[in-house]
Amino acid sequence: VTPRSGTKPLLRSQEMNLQTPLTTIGLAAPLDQPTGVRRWLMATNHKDIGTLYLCFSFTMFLVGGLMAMGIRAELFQPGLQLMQPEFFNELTTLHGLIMLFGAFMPALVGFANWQIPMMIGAPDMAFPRLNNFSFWLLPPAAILLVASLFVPGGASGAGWTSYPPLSVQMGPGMDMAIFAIHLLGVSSIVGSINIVTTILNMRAPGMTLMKMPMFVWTWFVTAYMIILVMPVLAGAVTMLLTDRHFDTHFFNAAGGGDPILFQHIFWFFGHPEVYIIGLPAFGIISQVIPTFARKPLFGYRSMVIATCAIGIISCTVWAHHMFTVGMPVAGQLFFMYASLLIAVPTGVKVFSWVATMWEGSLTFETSMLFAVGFLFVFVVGGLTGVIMAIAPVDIQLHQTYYIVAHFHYVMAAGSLFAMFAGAYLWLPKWTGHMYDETLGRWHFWLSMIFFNMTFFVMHFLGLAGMPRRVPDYPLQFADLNMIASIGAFGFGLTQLLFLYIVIKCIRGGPKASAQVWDGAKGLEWTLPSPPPHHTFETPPVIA
Amino acid sequence: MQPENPSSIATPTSPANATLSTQRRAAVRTAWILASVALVFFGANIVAQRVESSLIGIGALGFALVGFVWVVIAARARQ
Repeated sequence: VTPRSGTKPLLRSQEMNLQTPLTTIGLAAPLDQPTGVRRWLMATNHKDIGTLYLCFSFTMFLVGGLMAMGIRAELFQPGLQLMQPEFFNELTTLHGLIMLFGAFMPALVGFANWQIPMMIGAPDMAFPRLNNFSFWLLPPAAILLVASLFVPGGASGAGWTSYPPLSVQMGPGMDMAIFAIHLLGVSSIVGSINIVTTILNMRAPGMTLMKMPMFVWTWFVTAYMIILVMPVLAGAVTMLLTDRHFDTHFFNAAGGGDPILFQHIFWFFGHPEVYIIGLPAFGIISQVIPTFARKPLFGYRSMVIATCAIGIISCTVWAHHMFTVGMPVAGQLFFMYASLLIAVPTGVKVFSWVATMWEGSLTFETSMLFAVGFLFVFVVGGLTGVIMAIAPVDIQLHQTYYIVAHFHYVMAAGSLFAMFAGAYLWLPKWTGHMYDETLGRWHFWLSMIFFNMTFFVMHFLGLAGMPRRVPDYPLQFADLNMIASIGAFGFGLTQLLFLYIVIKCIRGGPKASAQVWDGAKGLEWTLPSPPPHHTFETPPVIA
Repeated sequence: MQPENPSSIATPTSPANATLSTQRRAAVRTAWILASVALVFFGANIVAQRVESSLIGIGALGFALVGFVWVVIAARARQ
């Protein structure tokens, strides 16, 4: 069997795969696997679990997005229109928690589940049942978060950071949020252990660490970061729980505790969390750009070093979130310089992506459009981050809409655009069908326009002094808020177009070849599209 | 440096050095090490605040970072 003229014969494992009846996205299970609901409940195949993660995360993305639209609807005009301030705070809190823990992190784990075994030539993840367990912890956590809206006192309104003393005084909704964070944390830690173990122990013969695709490298570092910082968050919210119910005084100033301590512990988790979401997104971009530039990634070794450097430095910058809390000048200087330092490896990455595109045979399919869009929004978000790393500036801008604009450029658009780039890159591989390119381009351009419409104006709102987390504001901010709200509704509705594109692609369309993109490199492209239920039963050997 | 496809991929062979069971044992060993690092971080975080001793925090960091490297090196040395 030869895949295309002019290329080498397929591997034996590929021949076996080609003889297997192809099934759409593996949605029809082979005969030896459970079918129907049992297939998904008891899923141990990495592709099935990846699909579950992606479906779950998109559902949560829509839920969190609806909350964002509620927030923007209230802020459409000055004055209280739709909701009481307490409910506004609850929406703000849940929007943050759901987007971070329910949408972005699971989506990236979904990508990892689908891609890592195929990229390193492994038959599956190291612990398939543990993989199933870590996914099925997510729905109860999501239910806890959303259901907390309906308990007496409502959901937590203390913000996603859950700072005491407010979080100690909240109603039972806060307990539900704490337990949800516990479940999500356990899920993330278990999933990360699985990923690290898979990468360390299940690579195909010849696949040395320095031959791994960048997406695998970024997940390797990310998984270590999760293992290091997620238990710290779990410890912090456990202490919060005992302060609330067991008379301890970790964070209660009246009992000799220290509320600032919580902020330090929280941000020791919170800042690496930015890169926990950012690094896999970088990995996706590092796969997309070489594919559509038809060139190898520029500076692979530098990219690996930069990824590790970001992972390490990101654990040393947490207190730049706390400049306004008050700290010694030496502390301010340390965290300021460390925060500025992190721009160096990040800059190396941006430089390498641009250098990869330089003199490449570029084409701009939807995936590449999103990758270039990512570069734009991420650099904007990164530059405002450098501005705010400077302590005196941060003290002026903290708690304003400038911060909201900055982190949405970095986290929301940065990671979201990268995930869309990855989805369009691998969708034909996963489903066996090409997606509708025209609709994909519409999705990109509408997303790009509406996203910037929403968040670019927030820089000016912040510079003008509009505080964040308020349901009402003075008349002087009305025009820009109206623009932001229209943009937010447009951005939200545009994502329904993505859902339509994915469903249409799963249901049919032109057949995708194994290679899909002529510039694609890597083991996953040696498999047929869609890949069979079991892949690499015989490991390929990398020369 | 990325793996070439498909030109650099030779024909498949059965795993040269590791049987499935040794691979499984190695995977379980790795997972336990990582899980213990996570558990120490979780526990030490709370204990350190409870007894207000910075030694516990430093000890936990030491175990997680130096201890992990030591365990990995020791495992390699045995091979």
